[in-house]
Amino acid sequence: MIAERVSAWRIAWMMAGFVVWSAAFVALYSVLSVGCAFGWDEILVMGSLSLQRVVLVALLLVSLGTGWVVVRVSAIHREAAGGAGLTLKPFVESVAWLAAWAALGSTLFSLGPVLFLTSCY
Amino acid sequence: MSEQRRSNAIRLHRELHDIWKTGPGLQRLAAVNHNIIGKRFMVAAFVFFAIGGILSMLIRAQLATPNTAFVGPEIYNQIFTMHGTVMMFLFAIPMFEGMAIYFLPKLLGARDLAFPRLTALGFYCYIFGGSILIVAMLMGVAPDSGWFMYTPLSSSTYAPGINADVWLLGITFVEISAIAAAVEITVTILKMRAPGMSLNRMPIMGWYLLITAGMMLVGFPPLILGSILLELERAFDLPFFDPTRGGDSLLWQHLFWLFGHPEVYIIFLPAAGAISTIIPVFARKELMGYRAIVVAIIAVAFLSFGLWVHHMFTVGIPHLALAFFSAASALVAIPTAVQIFAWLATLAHGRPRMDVPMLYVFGFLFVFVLGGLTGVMLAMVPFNWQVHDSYFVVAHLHYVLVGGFIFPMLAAAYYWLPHVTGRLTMHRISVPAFWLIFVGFNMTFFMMHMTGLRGMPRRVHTYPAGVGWDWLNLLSSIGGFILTMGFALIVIDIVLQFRFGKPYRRNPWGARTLEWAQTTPPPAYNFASLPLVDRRADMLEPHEIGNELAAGKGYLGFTRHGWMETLGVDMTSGRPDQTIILPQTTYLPLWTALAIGAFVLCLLFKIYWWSLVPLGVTLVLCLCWTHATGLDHDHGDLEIGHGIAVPTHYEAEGAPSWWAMVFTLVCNGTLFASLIFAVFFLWLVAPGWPPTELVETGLLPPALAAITLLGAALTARMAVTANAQGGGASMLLLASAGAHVLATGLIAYLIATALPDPTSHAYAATAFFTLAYVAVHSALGLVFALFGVWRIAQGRVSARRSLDLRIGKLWHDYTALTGIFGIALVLIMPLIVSASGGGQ
Repeated sequence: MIAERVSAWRIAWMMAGFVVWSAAFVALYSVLSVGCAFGWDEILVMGSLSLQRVVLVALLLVSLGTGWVVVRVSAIHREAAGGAGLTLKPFVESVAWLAAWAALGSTLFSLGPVLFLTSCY
Repeated sequence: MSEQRRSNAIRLHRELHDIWKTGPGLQRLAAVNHNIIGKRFMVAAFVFFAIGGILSMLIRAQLATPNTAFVGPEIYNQIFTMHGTVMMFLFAIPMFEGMAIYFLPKLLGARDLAFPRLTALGFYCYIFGGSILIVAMLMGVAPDSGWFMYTPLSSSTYAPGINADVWLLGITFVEISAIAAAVEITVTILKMRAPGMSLNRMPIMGWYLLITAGMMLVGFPPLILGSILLELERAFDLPFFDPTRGGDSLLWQHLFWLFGHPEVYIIFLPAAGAISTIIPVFARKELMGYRAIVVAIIAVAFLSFGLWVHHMFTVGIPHLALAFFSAASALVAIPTAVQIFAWLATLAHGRPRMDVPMLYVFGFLFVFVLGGLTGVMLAMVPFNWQVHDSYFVVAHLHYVLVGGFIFPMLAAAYYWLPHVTGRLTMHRISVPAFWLIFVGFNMTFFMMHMTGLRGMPRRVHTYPAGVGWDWLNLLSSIGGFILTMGFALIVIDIVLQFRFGKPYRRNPWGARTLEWAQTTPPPAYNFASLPLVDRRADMLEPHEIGNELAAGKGYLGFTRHGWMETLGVDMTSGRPDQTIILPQTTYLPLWTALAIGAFVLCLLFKIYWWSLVPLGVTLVLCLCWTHATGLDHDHGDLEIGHGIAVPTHYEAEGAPSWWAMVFTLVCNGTLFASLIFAVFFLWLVAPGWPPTELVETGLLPPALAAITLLGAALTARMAVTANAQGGGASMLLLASAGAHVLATGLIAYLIATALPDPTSHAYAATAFFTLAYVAVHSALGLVFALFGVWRIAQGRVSARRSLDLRIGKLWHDYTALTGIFGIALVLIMPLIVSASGGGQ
C-alpha cells in the first residue's frame, strides 16, 4: 500500500537537467560580460575567431555535454526503475529524464546564439 | 454510521476540539491555527485588493480624457506606484499564501502546517508592513518612484523624503512574511503528507505549491538584498547605486528583476494549480498529463529565472546577451502551453458541466492565452524596443496577471467558498458578475494595446488631445468602471452566500480530493484521524473516507497528553517516520511582529540607535518561542495506529524544523550569492573604477577570523557527536561560542581599521557590507551555541533528542562557509582590481 522508499536525493535529481541549464546560463552570461569588459572579442586566437567566441563556444559545448550526461544517467535510472510506470520510482525517474531532455533543448535554444551573433555590440 | 460509532466519533471530536481550539475574544489574537490564519490572510489580501482597485479607478478617472486636472503629477506618481505595489506585494502573493495556508494541510491530509506560530508571525508582519504603506499613502507620503523603485529616481538625491523609505522598509517587512510562508509550505509538502501519499500520488496542487515555494526561497532574496542596499545608501550614503562613486543604477534593475520576473510565475503557478484542481472536477475526468505537468512546472520554475533582462532590453546590453534572454523568454511559453493543452485535453476527454467556477476557468483561458501571446511578442527584441515603456506593456502585464491570477482565483473562490462557509453559491448574482468582469476587463485593457502601439507612454499623468489616444482611453476608463461593478457584485454575492447560501452536507461538486472528506466548515484539527492514501490523491472517494476518518479509523485517531499531534512522513514514499507535536495558541507571534514593526519604524524615522532596543526585544522574544518546544525526557517510539509506532519529531532524524533551517539557509545563501553578483557586477560594469583606495588588511587578522569561524563550526559538530555518545557537548558548545565571539571581534576590528571610508566608493561599501554580513552571522552563531548549552542544562537535549544541536550545527556550518568565502572575497578583490582596473 505504501510505496517503496526512494532516496530524497532523487527529488533533487529531478531538477538536475535544469540545474545544468542554470549553471550554463550564468556561466555564459558572466563570461560574456567579463570578455566584453576586457576586450576578448578583439583578440584573435584561431584564425578569424576571437578569444571571446572560442571561450563562449567551448562553454556551450561543455554545457551541452554535461546536459547530455544528465540525460543519459537519467535514462539509465529510468530503465532500471521500470520505464514509464505509474509507481513512485518510475515516476520520479521519468520526470527527471523528461526534465533533463527539456533542459538540454533549452540550453541549445537559449545559448545557441553564441555560435553566430556578434558578442559585444 | 452505527450508534456506537457515532458516539465514538463525537467523543473524539470533543477531545480534539478541546486541544486544538482557539479561545474567544482577545484570545483570537493568539490564534495559530491554519484555518483561522489562512482566512485572515485571504480577507486582508482582499481588502488590499480593494484599495488597489480604488487606486486604479483614480488612474482611469485621471486618464479618461486628455488634459485632465483631476490630480497633479505628484499625487499621480504616488497613485500608480501604490497601485502596483499593493497589487503585487499586498494582494497577489498574500492571497496565494492565504489559500495555501488554508488548503494545503487539507489537501495533504494533515492537521495543520509545520510551523503554526510562524504562520501567525507571517500574518502580523504582512498586516503591519502593509499598514505602514497605506498609512503613508493617507498621510500623502506614499512611495512615488514606481513599484520597481528604479534608482537614481528613488535615491535620496531625487527622492529626498521618506516616500521611498516607506516602500523599502514596508515591503521588506512584508517579505519576511513571504519567506516564512515559503519555508512553511515547502516543509509541509515534503514532510507532512498523509501516510501513503508518495510523490506520485500527491494532488497536483501540491506540486504547484512546492515548486512555487521553492521559487520564492530563491527569488525573493535578490530584492531583499537590493532593498537593504538601497536603504543603506539612502540612510548612510553608502554608494551602491551612485555612478559618481563606483555604483551603478543598473545593479538595482538587475536585483529587482531577478526577483521581479520569477515573481510573475510565483503568482501564476498557484493559480494554475487551482485550475488543474478545478477542471478535472467539472470535466468529470482525472487530470490528463499529470507527469507532463510536473515536468512543465519544473521547467517554468527554472526558465523564469532566465528572463529577467527582458525588462531591461533597452538599457544597452550586448546583443548576444539580449539573445540569451529573448530566447529564454520565448521558451517559457512551451511548458506553459503544455499545461494549457493538458487542461484542454482533460476537458476534451471528459463530460464537462458548466458552473460558476468554470466560467472563470474559460475567462482565464481566453485572457491568459492572449497575454501569453503578447508576452512572446515582447520577448522579441526589435518589437520590445518599439513598444518599450508604452501602454502596450501595461496591457500585456494586466492580461498576464489578471488572466493568470485573478480569473483563476475567482474560479478558486467560487469552487472553495462552500468549503469555508458550508453553504452554496447564489447563482443569480454570480453569473452577471462574471460577465461584467470579463467584458469590463477586456474593454479596459485591450484598448491599451492600441494606445501603446499608437505611442502612448506609461506613467504619464495626462496627455494632449487629438493624438489618437482620446477615445481609446475613454473606453478603457468606462471598461474599468464596468470591471469594478463586477467586483462589487462579487462582494455582495459572497456576503449573500455567507448569509443565505444553501447548506450542504459534504462535497457539493463531486470532487475527489481530500479537503472534501471533511465536514464543512472544517474543525480546527481538520481530520479526526489521518487517512492512508493508496492512489493518486485527486482520485479519492471523499465521502467514504470522510466517514472513516471521522470515526477515528485512520492514523492518530485518539488524543494523548493533550498534544496537538500530526504525522511526519518520508519525503518520497509517504511512509510515516515521526509524530509531530505542534505548539498551541500563543501571543508570542503578535509580540514578535510588534517588536519587528517597532524596529522598522525606528529605521523609517531614522532613530537608528533606538532601533537596537526593538531588535534586542525581537531576539529575546524569539528565544521565548523555544519555551514551548522540546521534551524533558525520551519517549521512544509511540503508537500512531494500525500497529505502527514512530518517534516524536524531537527524536527523529529529519524533523520539520531541521528541514526548515535547511531551506532558510538556501534562501540566505541566495542572498549571499546575489551579494557576490553585485560585487563583480560593479567591478565589471560600473563607471568610476578602479577606486583610489583599497582594503589593506594584511593576512593575519582575516586568516585568524576565517580559522575561528571554521573552529566554531568544527566544535559545534563535535558537540553533536559527543551528545550522541552520551555527554560532554556543553563544553564543546561553549568553545564554539568563544570562537564566534573571537571571529565577530576580529571582523569588527577589520571593518574599523582596514576598510576605506565606505561612503567613498561602491567598492568600499560592498567590502563593508560583506564583512558586516559575516559578523552578523557569527554573532547569531554565538546565540545558537549558547542556546544549545541552555537547552542541555534544561534537560531538553539527550542522545535521542538532539534536534536543537543539529539545527545549530547547520547554522555554524553555513556561517563558516560563507564567512570564509566572504573574507576571501574581501582579500582577493584588491588584487583583482589592482591587476585589471575596472571593466567598462
